[in-house]
Amino acid sequence: MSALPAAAPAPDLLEVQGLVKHFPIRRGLLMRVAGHVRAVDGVSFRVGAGETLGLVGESGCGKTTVGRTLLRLIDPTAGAALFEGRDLFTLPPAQMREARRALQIIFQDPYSSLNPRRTVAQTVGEALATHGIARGSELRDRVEKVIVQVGLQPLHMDRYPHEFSGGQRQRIGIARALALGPRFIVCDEAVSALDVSIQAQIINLLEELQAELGLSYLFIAHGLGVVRHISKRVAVMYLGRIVEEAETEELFRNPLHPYTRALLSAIPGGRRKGAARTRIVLPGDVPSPIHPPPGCHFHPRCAYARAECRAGPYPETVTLRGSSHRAACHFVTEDGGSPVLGDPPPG
Amino acid sequence: MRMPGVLGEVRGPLAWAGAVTVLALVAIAVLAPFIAPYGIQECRLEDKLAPPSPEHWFGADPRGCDVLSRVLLGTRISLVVGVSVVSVSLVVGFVVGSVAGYLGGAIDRTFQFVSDCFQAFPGILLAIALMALARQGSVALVIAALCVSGWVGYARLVRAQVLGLRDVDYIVAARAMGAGVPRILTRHVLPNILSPLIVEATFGMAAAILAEASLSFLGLGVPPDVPSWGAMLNSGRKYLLDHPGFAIWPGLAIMLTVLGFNFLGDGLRDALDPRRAAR
Repeated sequence: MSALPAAAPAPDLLEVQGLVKHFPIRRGLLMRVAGHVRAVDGVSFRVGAGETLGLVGESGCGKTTVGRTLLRLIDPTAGAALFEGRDLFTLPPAQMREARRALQIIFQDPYSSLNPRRTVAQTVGEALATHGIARGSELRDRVEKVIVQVGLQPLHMDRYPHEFSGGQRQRIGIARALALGPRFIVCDEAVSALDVSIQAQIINLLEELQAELGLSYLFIAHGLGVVRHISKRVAVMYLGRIVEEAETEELFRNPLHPYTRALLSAIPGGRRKGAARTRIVLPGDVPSPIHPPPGCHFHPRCAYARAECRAGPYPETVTLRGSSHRAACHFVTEDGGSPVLGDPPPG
Repeated sequence: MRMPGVLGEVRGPLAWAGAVTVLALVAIAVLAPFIAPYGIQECRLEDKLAPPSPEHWFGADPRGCDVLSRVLLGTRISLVVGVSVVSVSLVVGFVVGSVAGYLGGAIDRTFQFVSDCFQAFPGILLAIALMALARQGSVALVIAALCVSGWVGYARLVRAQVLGLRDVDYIVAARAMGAGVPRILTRHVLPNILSPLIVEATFGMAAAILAEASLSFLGLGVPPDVPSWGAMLNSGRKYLLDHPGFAIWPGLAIMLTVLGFNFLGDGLRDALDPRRAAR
């Protein structure tokens, strides 16, 4: 399956270009379109084979929508998603069905993600049966193999979801995603609903599976803390756009966007080398994606905002020279820094 | 809650009375030809309007047929109509309601318009109109006429349930693995909305049996020689003052059956309601 050259920089498995998803708001008797929820407003990123991209942002920033459009669970408004060179958004249904074998999803809530009336074997084996890959005893053998792979036991196969704990249920969800032998998995807040100790187990499991099977993950989370451990790169989303993206260590060492800094300071017990441990509390809530603020979407909550941030165009994305670190902020320059944003302001 | 355990969850005297009544009715329907003292065509004109006696416990009707036998045999007609109407309506209602609810959009709006049209007037009125169009009534026609409006209620119920289930993660997961709509609806949706459907179907049995009796009472139902409780009630109507038994026995049978199914339905609803589980 992984017919990839062993040579370094991993070729891109997935390249998302200008992904847009606007949900129309219909009102009145005639269901006229009264506006749009700009859930995702021009998002681009790459995920290499065997790599993990962390996608981080607050609730409602559009990160889940990004994951779902990639799997065509939601149809995008615009943009392209090249998966192994083919655009997922324009694939005809038969080919998309085929492509689904390579693209899977793991959900946040281990309770609602499993059908309460189906056994583990039925849940995990369904994809194989649906695609006509295996049946009968072969199907059972393959299901058993996957069950064991995620750290469960064969005797669990004929049990129902309610007989398992949250962590075990999440393993069942992972087994279901693995059954088809995917190459790319969207982990949609896959550990957010779990206890901290279980979180670590599941993250370790995901890392082991990645090493073993050469999987790529889009790891969606609402905080940077979880993502740091598992991601090679991290993208930070705010109100439908990526505001900053960098290699994980680079992002933690040198956060450029004020929003990223706020998120970093929110990590419990997070100690950043060379940075004051000041908690940056953002005033207010995330603005409505129906009417995003003019200029830089972040300006109403930004301590550094100036006139140019409040009006005018959305800031250009600047990529640091000689690096893949990019950020969308008026104060960031190609030379690696920002003259205005020093250390976070006190208070 | 697993399905086989449902009856074990039924509690309360009324629910049990309902369950026992329904089971007794099924037994009578199955055994009617063996336990009825007279066959369906075994009518003796010389016995006409006979009062209750050891030969005819419930008396005999104007054609000399044994009323007890006809009431017992009538159980078959009622249950056949009830079961047929409910199963056909349930299947059609599930298919239409689940597709409308799951796919949404224009399909759903069309469904809502159609179902509003059907619900704008009583279903029995539509059945009466359809039966009036047919020259000769038959059991099959009665069933068909009752299904024409019967599916709408189930479809609405299913649609409402599907709307709540459509975006649940395990349904999304099934979509993500490439499962088609039929598979999702039958494997994932149906088993999870079965409880309210069973309750609704139980009440539907009572309603269908009552509707058949009404149609037959009006002379729009089954042919006169078929022992339907409704038709018997109608023929007994003329003799209500002199020989009240002809009307009372089939009337009692209808009442018992409808009450039995309704009590059972109430019991099932309580048993299947997850909010009740705490008690």
